[in-house]
Amino acid sequence: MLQDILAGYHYAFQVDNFIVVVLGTLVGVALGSFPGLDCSIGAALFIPITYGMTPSQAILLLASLYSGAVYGGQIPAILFRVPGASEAVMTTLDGYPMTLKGKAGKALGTGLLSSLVGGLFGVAGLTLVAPLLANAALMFGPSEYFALGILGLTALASLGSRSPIKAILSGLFGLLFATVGLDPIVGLPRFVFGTTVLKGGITFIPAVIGLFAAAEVYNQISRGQAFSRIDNGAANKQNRIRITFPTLKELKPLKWSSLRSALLGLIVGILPGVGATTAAIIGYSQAVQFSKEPEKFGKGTIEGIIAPEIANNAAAGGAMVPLLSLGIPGSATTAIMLAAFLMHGLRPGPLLLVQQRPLAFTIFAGMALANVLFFFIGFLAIRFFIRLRQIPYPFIAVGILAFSAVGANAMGDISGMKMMFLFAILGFIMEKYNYAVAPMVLGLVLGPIIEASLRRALMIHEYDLFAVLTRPITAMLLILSIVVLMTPIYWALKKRKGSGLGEKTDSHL
Amino acid sequence: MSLKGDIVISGITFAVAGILFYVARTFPQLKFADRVGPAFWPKTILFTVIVLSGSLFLKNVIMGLRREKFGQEEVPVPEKEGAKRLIMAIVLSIIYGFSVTYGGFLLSIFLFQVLFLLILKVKRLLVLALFPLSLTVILYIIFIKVLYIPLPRGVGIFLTFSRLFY
Repeated sequence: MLQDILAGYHYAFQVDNFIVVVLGTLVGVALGSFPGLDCSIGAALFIPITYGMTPSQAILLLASLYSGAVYGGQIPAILFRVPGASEAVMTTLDGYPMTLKGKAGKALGTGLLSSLVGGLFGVAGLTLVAPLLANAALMFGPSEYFALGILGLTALASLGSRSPIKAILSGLFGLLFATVGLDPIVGLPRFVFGTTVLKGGITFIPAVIGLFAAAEVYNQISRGQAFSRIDNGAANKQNRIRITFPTLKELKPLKWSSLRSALLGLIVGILPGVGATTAAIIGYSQAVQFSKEPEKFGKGTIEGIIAPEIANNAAAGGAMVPLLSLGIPGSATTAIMLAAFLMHGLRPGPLLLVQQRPLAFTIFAGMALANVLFFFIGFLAIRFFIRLRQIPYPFIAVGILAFSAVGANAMGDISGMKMMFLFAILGFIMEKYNYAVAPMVLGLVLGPIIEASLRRALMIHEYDLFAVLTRPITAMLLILSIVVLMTPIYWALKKRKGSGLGEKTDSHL
Repeated sequence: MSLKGDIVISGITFAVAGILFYVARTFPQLKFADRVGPAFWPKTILFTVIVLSGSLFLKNVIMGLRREKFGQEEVPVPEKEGAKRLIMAIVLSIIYGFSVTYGGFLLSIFLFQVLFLLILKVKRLLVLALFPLSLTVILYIIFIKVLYIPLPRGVGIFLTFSRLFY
């Protein structure tokens, strides 16, 4: 294993790979530090650029972009109380009060250091856990893969929206879109309506560019934010910031809280569908719970930045575990990465860690490298990232749409661009009516895996559905899926019942 | 987000899922190779969509009737300006999608950007010329010169123009 790790670093440090990691990290931090743009949009926009790269470079670019974006989100969260990405939402609670106290440099330094620690912990966890999980997954058959796919989809659907039914519907739309084209088992056409374009199925790349990148532009326009002026006053005041790090004396009492955040972040990241935002919330909550001075939180304490930042960066590494070891993405960004793998002729999953071991360890090393790089990039170029917020949105919007239009065309098929615009309109409508887009993307990418696995499992068990569903691991995963799916519905019903009782009590009074 | 819109969306989903379920019944079968056949999975998904969208539709209709009964009105969302510009943006995107085959990538993407900036209230002539031009050059270098992507060249005079560059 040590040899694999060293080989991974050797490949990651090769000049061309290193340049790709630097580029990915820079773009990631820039995207993260710009409110409204996040790692999913960045990954969707940058997939077409990876066409000309080797598979390892393509994945390195996207993985480093992901790491950079998770860090970058904290910059506007601390300086302007606007999280650049949802992962940084908890960082605003203590980061912004520190800025108001004139300690913006220290808040940024604390966030930067915490992101580095959390990120490296996440990569270490990924390096250790992914091969172990992959070894266990080598025993999985089609029925287990079917159940794993269902678990991935239900986990994201249950957490992806305020309305669980709409989120489930969104996941089902994705599964349905995945059935367009030739059937994966017998090769007969489905939902092609006599056209040749649909025979190849819904191409994932244009769909994902439309749903994430272009749809977001339409959303901003509909809200009128695309042409409203940005208040640069606050930004201008922050231009002279110098990053300072917390002292060892300040950090020493926080060692256990930091370790708890890192562990929780890693575990939450590994769970499909949960992601870095939830990790940040859990990290912050545990820090408040175990703190001797919980009253300090929310008023500008460095512990309030350390806990969520360590947790969300550790979760970014954790989120790569199910993708690389099982081939099941647990979030929108990792679903886009799965598409990049497939586009380059690679199939993530247990066999990747057996047959393409150098590639897997190069990705681990590249992510660690990205974490170290964003530390230096953040330290040296903070003023540049603050200034990025001053770019008027119309230019960002036009840039995104132009990139999306050309990127969707990049497979050499003009229908890709038309499909991209169709999915952009669909994504806009879905967002407007509170149907989360992420479950649909996951459904689109997991659809063929789930269907083919289920039908193969049925063939193996002579079409006895009961025998398929009651295999021990399959049954366990499916029960877990039901629990995951029902939990938010249960809580929603309980909340409604509670508020109903409240109303009754009020009216009675 | 309006309740009326929610009713329309869930109603459309219900109807489309119903039609697609009917279409799925007509899929060809290869019973000797696969007993469940190509229609099994789409029909399973569509059945679930029909049940969920139907229940969502009913729930929204009941909520709407209750609001009517108790005289509650939906709060209007002040986004008229946004809606007008959004329609213009979507129409422009569709026009671009269809015209790029005839006008070629270079000219179409440049014009698309100029018009999109105008929709987003950018009025300075220099900016309107320079920003789209610079971005077009960047896209040209990345996708045509570096990645060798075969982007559309257009027809007639536009084809002649495109051939000057790629």
